Amino acid sequence: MSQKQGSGFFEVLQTAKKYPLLVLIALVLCIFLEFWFYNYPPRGVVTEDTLILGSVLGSPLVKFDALWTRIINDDGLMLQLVDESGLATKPDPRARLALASSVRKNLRYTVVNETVIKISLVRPGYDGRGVLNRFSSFVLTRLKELGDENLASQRELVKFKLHTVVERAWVIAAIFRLPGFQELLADKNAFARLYSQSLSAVDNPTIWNKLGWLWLNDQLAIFYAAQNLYRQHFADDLRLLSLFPRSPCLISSPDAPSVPVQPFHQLIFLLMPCAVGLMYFALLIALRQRDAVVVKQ
Amino acid sequence: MNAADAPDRFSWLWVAFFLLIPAGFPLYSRFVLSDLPAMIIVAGLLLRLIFVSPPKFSIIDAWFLFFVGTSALGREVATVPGAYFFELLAVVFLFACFRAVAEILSSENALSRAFTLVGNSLIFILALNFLAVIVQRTGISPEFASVFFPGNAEKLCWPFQFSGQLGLSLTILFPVCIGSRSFTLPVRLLLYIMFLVNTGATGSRSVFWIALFEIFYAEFFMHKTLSVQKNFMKGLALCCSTGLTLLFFADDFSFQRSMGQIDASPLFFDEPRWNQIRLALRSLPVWLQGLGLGCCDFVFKTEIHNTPLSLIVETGLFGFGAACLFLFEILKAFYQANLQQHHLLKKALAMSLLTICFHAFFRNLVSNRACWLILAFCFSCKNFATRAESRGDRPLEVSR
Repeated sequence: MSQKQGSGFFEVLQTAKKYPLLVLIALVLCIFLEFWFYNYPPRGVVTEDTLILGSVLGSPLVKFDALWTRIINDDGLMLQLVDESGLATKPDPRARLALASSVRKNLRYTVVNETVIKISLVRPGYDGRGVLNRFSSFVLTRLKELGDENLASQRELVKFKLHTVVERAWVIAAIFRLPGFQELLADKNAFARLYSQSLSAVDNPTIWNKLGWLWLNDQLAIFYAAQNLYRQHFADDLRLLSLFPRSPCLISSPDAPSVPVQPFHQLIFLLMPCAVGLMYFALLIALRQRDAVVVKQ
Repeated sequence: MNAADAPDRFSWLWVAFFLLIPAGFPLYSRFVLSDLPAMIIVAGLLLRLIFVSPPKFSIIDAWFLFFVGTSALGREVATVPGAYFFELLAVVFLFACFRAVAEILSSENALSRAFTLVGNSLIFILALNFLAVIVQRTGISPEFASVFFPGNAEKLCWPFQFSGQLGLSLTILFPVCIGSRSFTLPVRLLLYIMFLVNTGATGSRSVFWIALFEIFYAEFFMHKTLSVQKNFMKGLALCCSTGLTLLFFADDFSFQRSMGQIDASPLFFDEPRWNQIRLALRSLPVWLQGLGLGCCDFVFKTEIHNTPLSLIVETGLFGFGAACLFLFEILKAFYQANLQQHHLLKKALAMSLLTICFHAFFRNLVSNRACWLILAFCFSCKNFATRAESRGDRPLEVSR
């Protein structure tokens, strides 16, 4: 057989007997890579949490991007996160800061809709759950604090608006001398009832009374809007609250497992032995060719 | 296959393959017309390997297998397995064609016949495209010209999908055409003019400059004469014909772009190319493992128009090393070959290899058919007598 012709498959395999170390290296490499990619899949592992922002029927109480920017750039918080989650194994401050920086780079959020946010953390291995749980819990706490504060101030404003509308009606009723109203206006909050009874309350309305009634009619639309707003901020029996709760909450399970980023990551376990096998076979061919030349020389 | 076993004539499949290789004729996705005979040839080769004679693995197969192995270790393979397997299939198919061509060209005569077929096909394309450019310039038949300049494009691309592919094919295969036989000087001049017009109309600067270089190389190295007077006259004729061609097309957009006169400075200093190189360099941390064959498009959303860089990024340093060793084996076979009867062939192949090297820095040639054909032609030289054997040394024998 000439060198130009090459070697048959079984001839190449026979060369393997001459190089037992090579087969050992190939096997060890293959097993090592399989385990390595089992623990550290290419492109890492993603852990996700889904949050619902506190809102007033869909209008978020906190600007999430502003809060995110504030939190994510906080080195102190990041260090606290990596320390508490047990990620930091070295006490060296530089190493801890580098780790914090790596966590920060791989923390992302995606806006699903106006109130639903997904927070994800990509880590090389399956150790991201602890960090993300702590991070999400911190974000939730901050969201709750800020949201409650904002909700309280919005509630004050809504209360004030409703009060103003009712008072305005009371004044109109007083000016236009609507007697039925006068009696009913003892209870300022009974504005709607007052309106429905207005006509029966005024038995022989004068032109002056009618003008007052017309004006009050205008006020009714404003009252209903204000009352609706009031209910949105205060009522606890709204079914929409299940969709848009006033307080932020985490709807994903804190025990949800981390998953590899790559959708077909299992393929790597099949390709790995093939790749190592091909490289091993290639080296055997090369070694056989080299041996042939050496023997002749 | 020994030289004595070499067929006197190629079968119709091989003739079709060699004739169609210079033409693109896209069929579907990245399939072209020349792939049809190639697929039958490869299928025949496989059947023969399975049922008649088992495969013999040589060092070239070793480096290719190593390359395939490293390509499977890419980081992004599991992200876009479709892209990886498609590119892998394309490369394996081209390698199978490469092996089949290298095997069928078992003698210098066979190589010469293949040169003639490819050369004739290229002359036909050059002539037809030349006619199309003239028709487009003169406006005689816009319908005819529109076939060659599709979609009101200013760039010539027939019979390929893109003008860049045509430029590559023309410049890589033109030395084969000019080296396929001893043309007389007037015929050569006509070929040069047609070649210049074709490459200029593709609107690619690198293609145009390499075309000019090829013409001068062909005239002064392949068809050299010792007479100073003749050389001077040849040089004058070449300069005049080149100059006249350029003057005739001076106001044409594609020609101006080919000369590097519009907007951007020519060749390497091209912002999109710089961006691609920057992107490739940013992936330095994964150079050991690579991204995976064909995965660059997915990661960078663009192709890296630089073959060595693309190989490093996609298959890692080991894959790049295997590819280099693969090329080294081909170059070794080519360098050691002694083409006694057809001295033009070796010079033509050397020019084509130089062109490939040049283009490799501006294009991704991993799945370029013309490129693989030239490599197969070069590797087929291993079938011929080496220089040592020509001197009377015995060839090396491998002991079992």
